[in-house]
Amino acid sequence: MIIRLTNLMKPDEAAKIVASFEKETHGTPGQPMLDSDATRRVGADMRKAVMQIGGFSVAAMPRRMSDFHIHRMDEGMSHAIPIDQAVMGAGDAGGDDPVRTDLRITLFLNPPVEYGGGELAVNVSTGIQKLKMNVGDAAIYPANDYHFVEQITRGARWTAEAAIQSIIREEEQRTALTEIWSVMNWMQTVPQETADQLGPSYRALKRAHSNLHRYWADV
Amino acid sequence: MMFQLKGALSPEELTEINDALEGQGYVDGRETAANAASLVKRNVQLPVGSELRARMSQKIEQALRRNQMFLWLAMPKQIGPFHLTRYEETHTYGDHVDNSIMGLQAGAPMRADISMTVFLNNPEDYDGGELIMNSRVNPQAIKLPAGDAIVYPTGEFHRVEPVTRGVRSVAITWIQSIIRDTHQRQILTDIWTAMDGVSKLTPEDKLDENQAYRSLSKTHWGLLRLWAES
Repeated sequence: MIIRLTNLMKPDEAAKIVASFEKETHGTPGQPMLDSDATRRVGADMRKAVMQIGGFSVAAMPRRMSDFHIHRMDEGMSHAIPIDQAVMGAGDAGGDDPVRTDLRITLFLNPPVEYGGGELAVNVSTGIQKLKMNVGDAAIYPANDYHFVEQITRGARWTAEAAIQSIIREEEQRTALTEIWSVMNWMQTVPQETADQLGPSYRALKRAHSNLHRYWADV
Repeated sequence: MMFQLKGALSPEELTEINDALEGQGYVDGRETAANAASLVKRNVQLPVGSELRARMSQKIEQALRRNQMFLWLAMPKQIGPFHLTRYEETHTYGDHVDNSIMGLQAGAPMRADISMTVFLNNPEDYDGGELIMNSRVNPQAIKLPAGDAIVYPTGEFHRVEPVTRGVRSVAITWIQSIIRDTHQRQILTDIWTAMDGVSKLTPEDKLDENQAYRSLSKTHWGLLRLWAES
């Protein structure tokens, strides 16, 4: 399941990051990752900021995550995303703890109109889903398969990438919880009359969600 | 997760069963009680080998298998044969826990995950005879209308109070569930309850447009797949 988050970062903040690293060279030629003290610092700050965001916590159920890496893909580049190592060491993750790489997050740092191509092709159990999201939006998806970024035909594509260790270890379980949570959220948006009718249903779901979460939570 | 099945048997089915049972010979219920339970069991039942018992049992089982709520909440893998049981004046069944394995002696062992009592006559027909659930921890008295059933997890202490007037007529069985764990069944019941609740927001022929219903249905199926014993 791909979780889409909107407004994880404000467009002007994203633009500032892009501006400050415009001239940055790639850590490895041909690979999108930028690598310098400055990008590492920003990546660490971004991790701390994102972990504080309520919407992110609820959606991704993170136990912990790695620092972000800033990626820039230039015209002509495509990127076969390698399979993450299953457990990222503390040093690589940036922090005190290793991170089991259950999920990846791609945070889009520039508007889709600024580049041609560059779709994020995510391999999910039912096929391939292509994403090209707005600046400040993010996609969270399982790290268990080969994903791909299509070739850039024009301009440059900027993203921030990180790994997430989830409180809920199994993908199927995460999907179940997210689906129940979505229905509960919807129930809170209905007119009062409907809300009254749905009272017992909401209570039942709340109990089910809590029990499942508790059953499965890996803390 | 205890629940009441209203109208498990229709009035017609009830009449048919009660007519068939009229004037039949019952034997001591201790024929099928084991260990500690046999010490406290005082009732009578249709002989387990009798053709009538088999026929009545099958009739009741068929009625249950048409009941959506029963199917989705109990998830029966196997339904044991029903005991057709009567409690006459002074009859009772003291505090006991049911066996976890039924049919061992008969060579057809079945795990008793869920217990069920179907009421064949009305509360006004007898005094006393309440089914006391959870008798040692949180006693609850159950005395339901004819045709209703009470369904509850096997394994807790329960008893039937002495009948002081009239006769209490019930059909009793145990069910091995596809979902072995009570905790999991409770979660599935909660999701099913919510599904049922949201489904009532749209007419039946528009159910495929009800996103919440479809979402919960998918979740329900997903959990069943994760947990179901093959």
